[in-house]
Amino acid sequence: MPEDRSDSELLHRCAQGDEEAFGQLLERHQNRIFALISRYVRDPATAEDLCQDTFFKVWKYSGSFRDRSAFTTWLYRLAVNTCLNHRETLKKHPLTIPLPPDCPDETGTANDELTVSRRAELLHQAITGLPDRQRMALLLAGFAGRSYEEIAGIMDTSVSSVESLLFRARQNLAACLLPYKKRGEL
Amino acid sequence: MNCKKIRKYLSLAIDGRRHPGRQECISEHLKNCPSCRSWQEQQQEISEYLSEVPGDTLSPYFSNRLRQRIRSGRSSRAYSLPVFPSFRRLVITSVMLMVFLLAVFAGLRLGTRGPFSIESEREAVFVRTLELNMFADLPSESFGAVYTSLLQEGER
Repeated sequence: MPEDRSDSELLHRCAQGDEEAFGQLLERHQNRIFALISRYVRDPATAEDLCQDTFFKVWKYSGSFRDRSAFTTWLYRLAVNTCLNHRETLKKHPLTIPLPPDCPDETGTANDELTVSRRAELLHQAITGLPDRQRMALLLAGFAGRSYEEIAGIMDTSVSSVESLLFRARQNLAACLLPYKKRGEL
Repeated sequence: MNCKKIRKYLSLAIDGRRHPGRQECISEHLKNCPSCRSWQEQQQEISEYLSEVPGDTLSPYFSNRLRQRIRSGRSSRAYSLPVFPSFRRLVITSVMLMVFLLAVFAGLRLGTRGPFSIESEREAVFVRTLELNMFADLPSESFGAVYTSLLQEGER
């Protein structure tokens, strides 16, 4: 099969049961989707499961795709909904392992040696503590490099809501990281 | 403009959505507001972190596992009837309606039969009691004999 087929064309072939076309789609997008999901759930095994769920849905619902939106928007929407549903399920049926705290742990002192990994850990924890939709919007904009219009399509909302989500996410992050900044850890 | 508004514009600018008309005003505010300057620096740092942070890698078995899942799920897809969603909804509604009607009908039947069956059961017990001759050989002043005579009088 030629390598230059468009995503939509491959998806139409998937709808007819073409596994080779699905393989090509998978190869093109699996790393990008997995990278987004793994940054969202922060656990490689869960991320892989959710990534599998996402691509299984691509196969299952390939017949329902309409060319009104771009394939990547549709694919990201499936991934985002899979992640958000997973979080909802976790909230309803929590595991015995506690979820990450809302803000980074403040047990460290100002005299701790400041390392790059410590800063990264603080930032990561602060991002993990954000509300689900804010975190997802931030990852889509900051990591996946999606435009506001695309994020609005992916998250099924308006561009102004995306602006608001991102602003609130950044405000929350700043508030969460303020104690560390005051102590000179950031 | 206050700090909150400036930060909204800064948030947009981080994602590459600049407002050319406001640029001068924002720059002027940043010169005089260390708090907003610090906010901007922090957000840029977060943005850099998000774009640079190394992620996990997919296991080499990912693709095979997914294909296996698809193949196992395929059989159900192949044999499923090509039913339109609206038709499916109609079928589900009809079945639910039939179940409801059946339940109502069964309830009515039980409701009307119930008292009759209890009544006939009572009658049968009464008849059985009349046919008992267990008190026949007892002395006439005993409780059993008095009861039997009372029943016989009642019959007359």
